[in-house]
Amino acid sequence: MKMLEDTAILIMEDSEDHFQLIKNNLLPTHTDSDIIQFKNGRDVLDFFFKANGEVCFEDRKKYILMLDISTSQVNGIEVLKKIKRDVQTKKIPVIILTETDDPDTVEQCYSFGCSTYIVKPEEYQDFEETIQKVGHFLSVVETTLIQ
Amino acid sequence: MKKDTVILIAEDDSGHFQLIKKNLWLTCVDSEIIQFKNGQDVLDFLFDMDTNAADEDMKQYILLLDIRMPKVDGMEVLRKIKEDEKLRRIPVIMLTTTGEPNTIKQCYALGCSFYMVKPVDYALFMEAVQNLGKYLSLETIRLPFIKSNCA
Amino acid sequence: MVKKEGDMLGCSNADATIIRLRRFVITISVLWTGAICVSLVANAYREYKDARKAAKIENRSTFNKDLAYRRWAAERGGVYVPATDKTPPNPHLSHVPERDITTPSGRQLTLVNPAYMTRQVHEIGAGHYHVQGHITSLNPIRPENAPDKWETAALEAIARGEVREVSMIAAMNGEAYMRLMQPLLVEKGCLKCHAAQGYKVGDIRGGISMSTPMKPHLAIARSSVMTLAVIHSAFWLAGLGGISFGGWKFKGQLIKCQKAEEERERLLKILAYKNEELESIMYVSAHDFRTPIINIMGYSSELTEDCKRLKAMLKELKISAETEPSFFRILDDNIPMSLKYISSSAVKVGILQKGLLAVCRVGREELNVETVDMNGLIAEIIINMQYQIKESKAAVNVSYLPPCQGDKEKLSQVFTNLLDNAIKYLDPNKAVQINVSGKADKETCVYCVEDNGIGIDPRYHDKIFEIFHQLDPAGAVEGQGLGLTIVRRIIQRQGGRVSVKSEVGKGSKFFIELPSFSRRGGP
Repeated sequence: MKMLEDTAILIMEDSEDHFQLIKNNLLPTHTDSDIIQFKNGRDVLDFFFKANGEVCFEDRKKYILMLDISTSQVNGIEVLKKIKRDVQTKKIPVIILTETDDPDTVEQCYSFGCSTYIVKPEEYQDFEETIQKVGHFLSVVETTLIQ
Repeated sequence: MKKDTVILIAEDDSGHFQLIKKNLWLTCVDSEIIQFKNGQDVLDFLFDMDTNAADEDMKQYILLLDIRMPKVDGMEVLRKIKEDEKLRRIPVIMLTTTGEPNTIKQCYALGCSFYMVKPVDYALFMEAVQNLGKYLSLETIRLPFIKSNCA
Repeated sequence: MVKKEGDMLGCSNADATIIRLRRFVITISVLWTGAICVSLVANAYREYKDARKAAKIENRSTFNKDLAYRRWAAERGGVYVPATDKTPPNPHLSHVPERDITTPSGRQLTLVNPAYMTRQVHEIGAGHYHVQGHITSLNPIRPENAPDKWETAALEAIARGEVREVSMIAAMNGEAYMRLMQPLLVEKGCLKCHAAQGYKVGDIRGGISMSTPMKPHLAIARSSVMTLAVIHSAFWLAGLGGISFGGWKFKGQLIKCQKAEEERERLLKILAYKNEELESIMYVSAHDFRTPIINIMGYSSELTEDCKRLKAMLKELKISAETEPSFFRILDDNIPMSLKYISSSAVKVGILQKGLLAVCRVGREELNVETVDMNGLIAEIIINMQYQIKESKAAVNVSYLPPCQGDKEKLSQVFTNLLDNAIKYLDPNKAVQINVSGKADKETCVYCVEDNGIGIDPRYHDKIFEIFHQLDPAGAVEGQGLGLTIVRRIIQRQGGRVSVKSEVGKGSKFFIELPSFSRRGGP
């Protein structure tokens, strides 16, 4: 299996339970990756952008971003929009993982450039399975450096 | 995966196409699969669609795109799709033999959803395509609807 | 990139050099002209000085001769000559007894005193020679002997004791003359005539003035100067010619040099282009190999699976006992063996393809040159290789490493490959000892990775850097024969060098030479 030690998985998820569940199910396929939680969109944007809009993040890192767009404060869609508008951060694959099942939201997210839109399954078992499949898929995906 | 999802595979090598198709099927992907042997055919298919067709004709597409292809290469196809207001919503997954970091970067910059390298080792190849298949077969995955009059 | 070396002739910027050369030629010409002028002026000045000197000498010698005759006459109290119209008895000597005598034969003789004699000689001289003598005095007995204006001034200056003689060029009748005024001192013989005036011996009684016309002397000087001018002009022209010729020759060389340089650059460009083209061909073909390899491997696996399925199906079918063994021989032995060779060959091609691609990539990827802290870099590598190091029980000793200019990631690959080789090719009979050291000077850093492994025969020192070269492909050590090829490509791309010192059984030393930290602005 491909080593992913360079890729950090950033997860915007305000629910601690969900984050732990996601993390635990990603770990088998991403033992060497940093899995980082952000509680809200503000924190994600602060991670990537300085106050003046300049990009500021760790050099020579690869990222994958999972967004829960229902998270409060800065709207998840706003985060997606901002990330996909910047020349550098637009290279980060963004997976929307959220409760919302609204077709308009789905269309909106795809037109803003999300990679996939996944609805969180309600059943715990299904949720776990879904994340594992996401993990397996991400383990065969190539990501790119952001500079 | 829902039946009305169409997987478009742009792959000039029929051997590769068969291997991809076979392994997708192994993961119970029951979507329609269409092969295109070069980039121009993909563009023709997508751009000739009547995007104003009735709602009942709407389909969900996902494109698996190779890079080195006759006529129009994959990067150009990707650029054209992502420049189009409506087609840009289609998730494009690069599935190619190149693992060149520069190419990967360019594809992500152009707006591909994911980039996958076809492994030479068949066991790894199977794993990669099957993982993709399982991902695409997720019950709760949502794809954009593209209006189309094509079957 | 090829670093441009400024060579001796400055070929690389011939235009600037040609301008410099032109300036140099002009300067030399001006200097040469100046030198010729100075020489001409100096020589002309000397000629004229000589002319004056010659006139002076002429004056003086005439004077001295006059004086000698005069003295001779004075010492003898004058001489008697036949009294004629030309030489009438001197009225100023009327007080001298026996001024006029008659010879026994009746010839009339009259006394001619020195002054009279000198005057007469001067009168003859004025007709025949260009030197004009004139006996004079501020207090002349004979009024005709009165001095002219210049003579008066000269005599007065002598009388005041300011000078002993006066010699200078002065105008006379509108022409330049070298004039000389020498005092006439009263001698004993003089008193015969001049005692009446109250002179004593040693008094200045007057002077003799000598005037040599400068005209002939100047004519000689002028002709000499003319000759000099001609000679100088000839030299000047020859010199200028020489300088221009030299400059022209040099310029020709420069232009030739520039042309050669242009040609060299053109060839380098072509070479770079061809090289790029070749690399790109190599890269694309290396890349395109993947597609068929994937198919070969994929379909042989599929075939293997299909064989298994077929076998299972055959087992269920009733086949005659005669044919069954041959069916299963095909399915159990023949087909699997063929497939095994197909896929193992495909694996081999795949490995070669991957290696080729890796080597190509080294030549294509952009370099990110910065100052690299080598101590940190090596420490990181050692952490990453901890497993292999522990496994081989290697002692890795790293001394202080100076920083260098390079691409950090690529250098990491270089040293990983070198350390990997050091561990791979260990000597099983020795405790593995690996030393990493480095030293730097102004220009370069040299790092050394030293091991005490099996070593390399010097015959193969060049070979080991070749692509896919393995010294012992069948040996215990598994590899692609790429490590050192990649090392060399990376280092060469960064303007460095790799070398090896090794002997069989004595371990190996690999030297990496890179631009040092102090050298600004990399390759």
